[in-house]
Amino acid sequence: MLILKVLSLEPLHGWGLCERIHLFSKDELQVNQGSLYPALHKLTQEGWIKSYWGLTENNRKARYYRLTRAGKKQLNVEAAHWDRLATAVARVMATS
Amino acid sequence: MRLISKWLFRLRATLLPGGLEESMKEEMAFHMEMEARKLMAKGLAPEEAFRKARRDFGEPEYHKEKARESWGISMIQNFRIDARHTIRALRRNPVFAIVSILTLGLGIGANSAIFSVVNGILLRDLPFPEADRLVSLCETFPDDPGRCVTASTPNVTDWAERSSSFQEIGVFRWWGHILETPEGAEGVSSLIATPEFFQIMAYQPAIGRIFRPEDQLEGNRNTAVLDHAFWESRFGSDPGVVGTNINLSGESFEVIGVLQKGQKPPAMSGERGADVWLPLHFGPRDNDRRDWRGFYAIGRLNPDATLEVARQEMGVIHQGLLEEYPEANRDWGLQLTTLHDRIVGRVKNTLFLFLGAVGFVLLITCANIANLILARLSSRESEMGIRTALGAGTARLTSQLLTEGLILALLGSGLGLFIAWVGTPLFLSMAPAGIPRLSEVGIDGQVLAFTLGLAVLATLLFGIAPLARASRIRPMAALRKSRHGRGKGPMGGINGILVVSEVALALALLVGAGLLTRSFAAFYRWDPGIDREHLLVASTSVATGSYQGSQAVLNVYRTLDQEILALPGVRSVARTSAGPLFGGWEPDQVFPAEEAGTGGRGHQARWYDVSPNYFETLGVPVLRGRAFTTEDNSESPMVVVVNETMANQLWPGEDPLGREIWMEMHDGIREVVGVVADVPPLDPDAVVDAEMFWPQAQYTRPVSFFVIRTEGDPGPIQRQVADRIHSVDPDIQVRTVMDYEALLSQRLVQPRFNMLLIAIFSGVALILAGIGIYGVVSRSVAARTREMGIRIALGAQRSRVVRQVVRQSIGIAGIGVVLGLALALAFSRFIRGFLHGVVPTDPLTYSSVALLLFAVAVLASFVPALTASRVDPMASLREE
Repeated sequence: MLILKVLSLEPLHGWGLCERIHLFSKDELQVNQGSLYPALHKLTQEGWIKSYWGLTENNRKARYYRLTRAGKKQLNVEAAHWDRLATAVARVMATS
Repeated sequence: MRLISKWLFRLRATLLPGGLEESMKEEMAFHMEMEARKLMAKGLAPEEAFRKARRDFGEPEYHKEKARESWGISMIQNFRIDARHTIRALRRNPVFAIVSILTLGLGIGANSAIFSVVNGILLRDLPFPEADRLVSLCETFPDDPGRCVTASTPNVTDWAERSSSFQEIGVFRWWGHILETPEGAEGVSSLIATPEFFQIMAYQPAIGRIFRPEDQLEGNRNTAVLDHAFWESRFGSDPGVVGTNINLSGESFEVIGVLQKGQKPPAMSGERGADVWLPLHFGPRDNDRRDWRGFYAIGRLNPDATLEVARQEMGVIHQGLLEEYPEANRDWGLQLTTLHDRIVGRVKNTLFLFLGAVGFVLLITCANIANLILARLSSRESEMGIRTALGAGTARLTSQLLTEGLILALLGSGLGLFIAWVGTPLFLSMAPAGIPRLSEVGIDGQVLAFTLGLAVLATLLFGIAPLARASRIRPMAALRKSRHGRGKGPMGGINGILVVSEVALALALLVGAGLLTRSFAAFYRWDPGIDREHLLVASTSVATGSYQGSQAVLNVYRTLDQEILALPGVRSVARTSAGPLFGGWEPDQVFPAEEAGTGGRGHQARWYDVSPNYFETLGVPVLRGRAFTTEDNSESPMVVVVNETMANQLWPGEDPLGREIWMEMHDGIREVVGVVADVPPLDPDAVVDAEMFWPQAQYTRPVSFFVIRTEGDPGPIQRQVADRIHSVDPDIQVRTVMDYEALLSQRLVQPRFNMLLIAIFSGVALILAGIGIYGVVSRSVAARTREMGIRIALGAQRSRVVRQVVRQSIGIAGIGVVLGLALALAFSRFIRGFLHGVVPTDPLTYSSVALLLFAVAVLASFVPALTASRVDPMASLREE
């Protein structure tokens, strides 16, 4: 879900994605750098993201990933699901 | 869609793994480089930065493998590995490969061949447009409502007028005609049909036109439509034939058209074509004679009507007709079936019998191959153990075993298809005439699909047993057993079950074959009370136009009698319209003359017109009264001779001589002058029919059989008969000249075919079961070599060892035989319809088949038993 969310803002390459997640989560979430790739492949397989070869700001060839329409739909589904879960957890925690 | 793209991706990943691997490597390298740069920017030394970057990233190979798993290519790749492994293993063990592929090929091939026949005849639609809306309507005998006969034309006309379920109902029937041309006469088969019938079957003309309603009107010109093949062969495809006249049995018919190529009449009684199609002319007699049921009726349902609705509606209409025409319709029933069922219904059971039999063969094949695989597996137990110990999961081992099975099955089904391709035409050439739709049988996509389905099914079937075994392998135990020591022998457990079921299945098949053989023998033993060996039968027709009137026909018959009698070796000659095995008898309703017109139902009797010495020539004893003489002619009183059965039916316990009978169709009275012995029919279960005979001189037709009694072997005379007849008049047609034994064997083609086919299948089954027993016993002996060695060393007699092994094999066979007998009994009711003169539970068949299987079991265990007894005690002990 996190990958989908980050990619929904702009297409990124793997390393950029890693950095972006660190940044957004204020370093709270540490994504294991290597295991990002199997995850990316899995999402590609599901058809939620697509990869293409592009150039970075400093003219290096890198593999970029972007969200597909199916991915966007999936993000909404998962976000709604997460909201429900988070609310539920918050409610439980609130009853002390 | 997504699924497809997923699979395309996997396929690419499997077939072209290079590209994906490369890009993944590049991508990861890029990641680590970027990470290192970031760290360098934070002030780390380049080397330190790279090392930390790589550490943070983790092991690239590990992540790659994870990614690969997400592609799902491991499954396909595993398959590739397993397949390669299997093929290598098969090559290393060619005997196993050849034996299993051959047996599987035979099993699958036999199934595919029979299925292609079943598919062509039973499953495919009839070759008519919208054939599923075609319905056969037929009337059923008053005393046999299950038996569908033909229908009466006036009834059909009323059905069509009163019903709303049918678009049209048409009738047709075959009729023999003689086509007369300047070059000579020739018998042609013609089909008489109504224009509605043409519409229903959607026949179209290639040239000219087909029948219109006005062609049917009585008194109109005679018109004819030619069959396409007949037009090609007889008229050289000359389009000018339309508009000309042809002469059929002395009448002139105008050819109005030629049917399109391949348009055939429905195969109501076997594949039977028609050379010439004629419109039905309703004569007043036909309309009066509502009880002339001589026509096949076929209707086309309205698109919105179902067969059930039509049945209900027709039931009401039929009831109405019963009340309106009680004389003609009393007690007659009406039956509606789809045309498809009507045509193939007769052979359905036979085909299912064949399909069932080959199914049994396939099961036995699978059991045998499962046994072979098990045997191989037990020698591979340590291999499996090592693999399990090294971490191969059950799923992985399972998929490997299934892959092996699938590859065997695919190779086997390839061979099977070849066998089916060869075997189907063989089956067709062996098949008796009269099976409908044989020409439509062939190997097509459905047969291919069926074969592949069988291959998969076979894989699962013979894969189950080895799987059950393999999944129980404990690595430590398997490894510890090493090469010599083995656990319990292969007699118990799965192998035993497999062999027992092989024996049981083979026994059930053999019982079927045995019963069919006994039934065939009952036919063959047929004792008609006449000498079968020195008899010739010739079917002739003198309908040439040269012989007008009964006297002319009788005169030429008498000339022919003299000519044939003059042949050396001929003892006597007689004529008849029909006879036992000749075919061609006709029925009539008869009444004792005093009961005529009193509303009774009368008795159905077959009638024959015969020459005076018919009974004497055939050898049928005259029990009372007299046979005919030349004095019985058209001037003398009308006389009849009846058989015993008819005498008992009409005048039970009374003297039939001097009594008179009235015949409904012939509308005449005849006096009984003699009683002849019954000639039992060929079918031992059938009852003797009432039969009556009258002199040909009192009822002369231009067609007759000549019955020729010879002194010795009828073979040499057979060839001379036709020449002799043609020396009198070359225009006289001689259709068949056959000795009586040939006539009999022609009639036995169907039972012989059934018997042979099932016998072949059960022979294969028996061999397979024998191989199965042999395999299990010899492995059990091999596994116990040491035990045998010790026993022999301790003084056990070799004959005792032999006996022990044989006894073991008989034990297996015994369980199989008991189960098989139960199976055969359970299935016996399916075979009842094919049996004549023998009951489906015939104890002799069952016991002899059981004995046969025991004999095979003893035989199959004899070689391994001898091997066991020759074990050298020292050698077997030293082996350890």
